[in-house]
Amino acid sequence: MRRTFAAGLLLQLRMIREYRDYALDLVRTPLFAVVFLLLVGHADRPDLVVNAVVAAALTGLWGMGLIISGEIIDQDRMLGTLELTVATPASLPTLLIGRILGTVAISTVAVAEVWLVTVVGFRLPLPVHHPGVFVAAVLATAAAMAGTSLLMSTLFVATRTARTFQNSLSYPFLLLGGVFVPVDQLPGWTHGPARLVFLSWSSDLLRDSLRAAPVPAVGPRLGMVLGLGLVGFAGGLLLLRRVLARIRLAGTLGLT
Amino acid sequence: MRPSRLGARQGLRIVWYATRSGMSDYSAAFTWKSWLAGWYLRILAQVLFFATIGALLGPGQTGYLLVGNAVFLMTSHSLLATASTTWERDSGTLPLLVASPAPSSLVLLGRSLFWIPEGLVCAVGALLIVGIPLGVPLPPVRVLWCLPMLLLIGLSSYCLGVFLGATVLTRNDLRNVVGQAAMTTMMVVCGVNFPAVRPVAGLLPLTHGLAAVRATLDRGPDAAVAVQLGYEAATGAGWLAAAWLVLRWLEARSRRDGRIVFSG
Amino acid sequence: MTSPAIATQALGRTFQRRRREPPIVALRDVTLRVERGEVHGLLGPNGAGKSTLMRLLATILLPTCGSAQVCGYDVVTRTADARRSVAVVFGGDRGLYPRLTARENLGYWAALYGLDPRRARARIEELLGRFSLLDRAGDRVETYSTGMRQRLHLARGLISAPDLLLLDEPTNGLDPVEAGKLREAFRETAEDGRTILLATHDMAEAEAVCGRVTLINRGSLILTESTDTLGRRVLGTERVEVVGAGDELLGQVGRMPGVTAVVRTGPGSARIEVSGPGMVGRVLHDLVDAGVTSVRTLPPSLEEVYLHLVGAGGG
Repeated sequence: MRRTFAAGLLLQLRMIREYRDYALDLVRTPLFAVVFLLLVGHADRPDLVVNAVVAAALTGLWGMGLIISGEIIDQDRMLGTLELTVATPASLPTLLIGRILGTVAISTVAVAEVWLVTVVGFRLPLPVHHPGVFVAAVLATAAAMAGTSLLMSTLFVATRTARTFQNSLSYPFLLLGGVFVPVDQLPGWTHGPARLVFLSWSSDLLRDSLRAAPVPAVGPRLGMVLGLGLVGFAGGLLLLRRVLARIRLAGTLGLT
Repeated sequence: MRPSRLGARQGLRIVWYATRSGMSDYSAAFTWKSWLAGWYLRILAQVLFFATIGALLGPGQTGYLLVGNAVFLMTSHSLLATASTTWERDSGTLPLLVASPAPSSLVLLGRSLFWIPEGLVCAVGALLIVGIPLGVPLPPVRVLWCLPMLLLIGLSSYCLGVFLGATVLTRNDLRNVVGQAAMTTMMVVCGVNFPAVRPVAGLLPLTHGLAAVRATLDRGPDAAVAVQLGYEAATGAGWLAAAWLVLRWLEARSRRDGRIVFSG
Repeated sequence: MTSPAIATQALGRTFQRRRREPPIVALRDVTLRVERGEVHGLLGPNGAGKSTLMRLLATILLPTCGSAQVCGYDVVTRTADARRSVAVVFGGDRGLYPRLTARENLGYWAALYGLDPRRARARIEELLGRFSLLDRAGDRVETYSTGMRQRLHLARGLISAPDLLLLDEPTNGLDPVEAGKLREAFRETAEDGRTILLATHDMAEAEAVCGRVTLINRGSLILTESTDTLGRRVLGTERVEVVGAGDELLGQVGRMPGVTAVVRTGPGSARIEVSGPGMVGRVLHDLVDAGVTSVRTLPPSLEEVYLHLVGAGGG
């Protein structure tokens, strides 16, 4: 299992290295950071720098999860390697998790780029007032992103037309996730759905960890991030098993 | 029998067929329902995302961001031509085009025109719809005045998109990165979310057209608006010329080095 | 007693494309046995069910009815064990990561088959050397020719040293030189003691490589027979090729009972079709008596058998 996980991780790192499209968010994220920072700069709102930074970082993380991880299974189907993978003794869920975590690992580069743009490019101070909370929030967010990516990658192969919805999962979720404008400042009717998206908990927690004020209820909020990520993970796992079984029964495996 | 020189009518026919070919490639990806529920909703969410930031920033910002990001949809759609220009190579028809008597550049110019009507629907929809839940509805009559301006922005941005598509015609792996980088750069530079970054912005499509749209929505069309539109048209013409030159040069070079037949 | 490499009992597979359409029967009532160490051909036209059978044996697909065991493991109930014993190789361009190098591709598959890094490295170098890919091993697969890719596919299939190798039309699209190289590789693989099931519609390939062949058409097995005896068994004819026989002698031979045709292939040379038990001996006797020294007997080609059984229109 360890070997399969490592093989998936290594494969994904190599794929990201070789496919320029996967570098999209590494190019786009720092540009988004520039957009958001200029926005708050022009409005003379230094208190919103934290919002800008968190928004850019989460936009990059979500984008990479959606585009790269979301395509893993479908890409293998198009390359003809999915059938061959199923025919090996390796566990497909383990392999996928390895590949998804490879993507998440690379997406931390996007986060580093945002930090560079802010601190080096714009020469804005970005103190981390609550480093423990910050690190925990980043790790929890990465884990939740991995779990959600598994769900997305299985969804995009479970339904043939799901790919057409892949693009539509970006901004709606960034909006609901409160990545820039906190959820509690959105209309009341959005709060319920928004709190089902782990991004909304992550963005609040990350912003709070970068501000001086004490951070309330760290444990429960981290729990929500991880919990929602776990729901995504469990859902993805269940769906993957059912998809594989159904495909082996219906014989649509390997068709594009 | 030697083929006669290409006439204007024949040229238009070629462009029309190229547009239809591009349209058919694109329409394979969507049905009406999936386009509305998938793409259109995401487009509205994109504008809403930025417009809601306006509410945080301060008074008057919501409307500013709404207009900028809605109009930007024209540009972002047109810039998708950067990627779709290369579809001709993907389908293996590029060498056949080069071998035909008609200029392949004409086909490549027309191939991605279908993005413009789509961009128009998205931009107008966003202008009319997104302001309502945010409490800053835009006057519909003034939005209608902006239709030809939006079309002009779409066309001038399209010329930039084709130019960029031509530069990556033999590098399929770069088409999406280049297109997206251009989009995001224009979002920074052309006055979408904050005042334009001069002088660079002046050379790019969208800058002048967006200024014209903002002025029209504020006070209605006037002479100053016409001047801005003139600049927008000139910018577009410049990028069109650049696109044409690059395409013709590429065609000649690719026949020498064979890149035209190799995909990837 | 070791179990056979492949054993299927009344194996069947249907596909239901759309609800209102009747199901497609890809395989019906397939009972097949392939012993360990065999190189067994699976011959049939396009759409005969070869690929479906391959996918069932590789555990990629589940059977609709019947059962199948590979190397003693049931493909449904002992899937993991079956996968450890079997490897499948498909023809064509798909099945590799084109932007990765050959080494990276093989390293990935080695890990999926559970090889530890040291063993994997050694095995990869061995296979790359064996398939003449060492000097291009660091290049991206997308830069490879079709022949090189196919050799890499085969190397991938052998990475885990499987007991059973399923080859699904591996020489499709290859020029004769490359196809010949690949067939040589199949033979070497068989010499290692592996069982090979080779699905093909190339008769020459099946004749050159396989000891036994199974003919399949429209999802059903037609027969299984050794390549040596297949022609005689099925068509009951043999061929005598002769060089240095005059027209008169050939005319005489043509009138003998049991001789169905004499086809002149050049000055003094001919191909004589003989049917009926013992008739070949009589023809040979008469030719040798007449002073002809260059004669040889051949069974009907696999192609003739195939066309006779399956029909010139194929599926």
